[in-house]
Amino acid sequence: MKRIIVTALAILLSVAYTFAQKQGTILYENTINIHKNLSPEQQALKAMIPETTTQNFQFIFNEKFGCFKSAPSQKPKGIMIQMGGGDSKTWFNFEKNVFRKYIELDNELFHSETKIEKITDAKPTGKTKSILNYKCEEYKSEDGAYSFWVTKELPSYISPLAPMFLEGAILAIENDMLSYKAVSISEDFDEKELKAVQSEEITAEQFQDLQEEKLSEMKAMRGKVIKN
Amino acid sequence: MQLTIKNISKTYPNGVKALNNLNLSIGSGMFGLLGPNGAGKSSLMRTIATLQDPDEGIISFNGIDVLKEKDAVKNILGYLPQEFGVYPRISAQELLNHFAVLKGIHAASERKEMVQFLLNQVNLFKDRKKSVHTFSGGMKQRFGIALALLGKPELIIVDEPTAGLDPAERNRFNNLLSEISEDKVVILSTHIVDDVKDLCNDMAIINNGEVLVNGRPSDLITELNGKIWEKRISKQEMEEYKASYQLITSHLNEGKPLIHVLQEENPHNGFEKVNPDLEDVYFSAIK
Repeated sequence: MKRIIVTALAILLSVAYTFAQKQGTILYENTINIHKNLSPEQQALKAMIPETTTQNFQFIFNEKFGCFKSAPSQKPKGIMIQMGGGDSKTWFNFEKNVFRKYIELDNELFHSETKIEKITDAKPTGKTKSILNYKCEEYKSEDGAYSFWVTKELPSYISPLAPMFLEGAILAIENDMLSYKAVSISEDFDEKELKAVQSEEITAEQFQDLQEEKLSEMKAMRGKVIKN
Repeated sequence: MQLTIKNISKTYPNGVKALNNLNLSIGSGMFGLLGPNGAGKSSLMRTIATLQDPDEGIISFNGIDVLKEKDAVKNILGYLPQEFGVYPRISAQELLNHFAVLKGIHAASERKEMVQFLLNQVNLFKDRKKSVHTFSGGMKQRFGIALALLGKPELIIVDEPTAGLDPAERNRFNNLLSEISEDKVVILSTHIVDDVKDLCNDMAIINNGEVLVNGRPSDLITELNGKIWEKRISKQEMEEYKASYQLITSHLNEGKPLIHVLQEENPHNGFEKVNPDLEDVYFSAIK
């Protein structure tokens, strides 16, 4: 009987522990396959260009807010490819169930707010694997190109690729051209990162226009840009 | 600096044997790889550039195993392929900067300096704000050289760079190649004999995936001394001379064929001994 109680307590503690993590920082490794992003006419350039580049990002969260941004002091392995129109972060307000993407243009910061909504076209495949000791289930996008590894042991608003949200935290995304994988998780978090930055709110359409403007500017000034 | 190619063979799935136990040793300077279309030049270039694997053989460059250490090769290789894609509406300067980022040159100041230096070197600085897709053939090839020179490569491969260029552009381009070949291994793959004659201190002639001749152009020419005989003939006589002599070249001169034959002894019959040139070397090798 004592053994049963101890075991039950252990299971309860374990469950309590995993569900208790409602704050912390997840470090993601993002790998982009540059060769797969070259056009058919540019295939010969593979001879001079590294195949992949790796950068780290972090998802910082507590019960109310979250923030996804590039990890500080991380030098990219290979080259730096900026995504989504710059190095701006994504901010999440879980109480209001929205996230904000920021964009800076001519030293002015703008943001657009979008509802956190679960995507419905990705379906579970029945496959599972463990990432950082979290049991993850595989979801495949409708076209089969993306695999999402999702754990229900962490809050469902955690995603390295907003607005892609599923029935649990996304700890890995696998695709031919790009991938994200959670490589560490801790309970530490930097509270000031969770504060919304002062910025002007614009509509989603205006944001897209600014993003396109910024993308063409960056294409001209900094090189390859991949939109997320 | 030394590029060593040992026993390289490649057969494509359709059965074409592109490279057949090919061996070459290439030192600093400009190396000419001469051969007719389909000789295996591009297959060899693509193999050295790590874009395709051979079925067997070894390639090494200054201690790097080219076929196994592909990432290391990317750091020291500059490659000007026969075609490279450009983006419309992006200027030469922006595009070069873009590829510098892809090449892994992170520091913005270093990148800016390098892009400006290269645009100057290939004489495109004044055209830096024009879109590359509006460039002439020669300008595109010079831009391609700037692209190949990003990251200060030690091994540069240029594949048929002067095909389709007018004489002035070709001359300008060849001068540029000559400038960049100091302290580097530059492999010039071409079927244009004059390009090799003008530029290269070492060369090989390949055909059917095999090395037929390898050496300094001047040495290879010397080997033919006293063996090249020239005669002006009529067009009607051509077939008869082809059947009777080892005819290696035939050019029209003042509307009449001027033929060169390879023969140890004087063929008499109106032939005159002439000084051989690289074209004689080339055609005597591939015939």
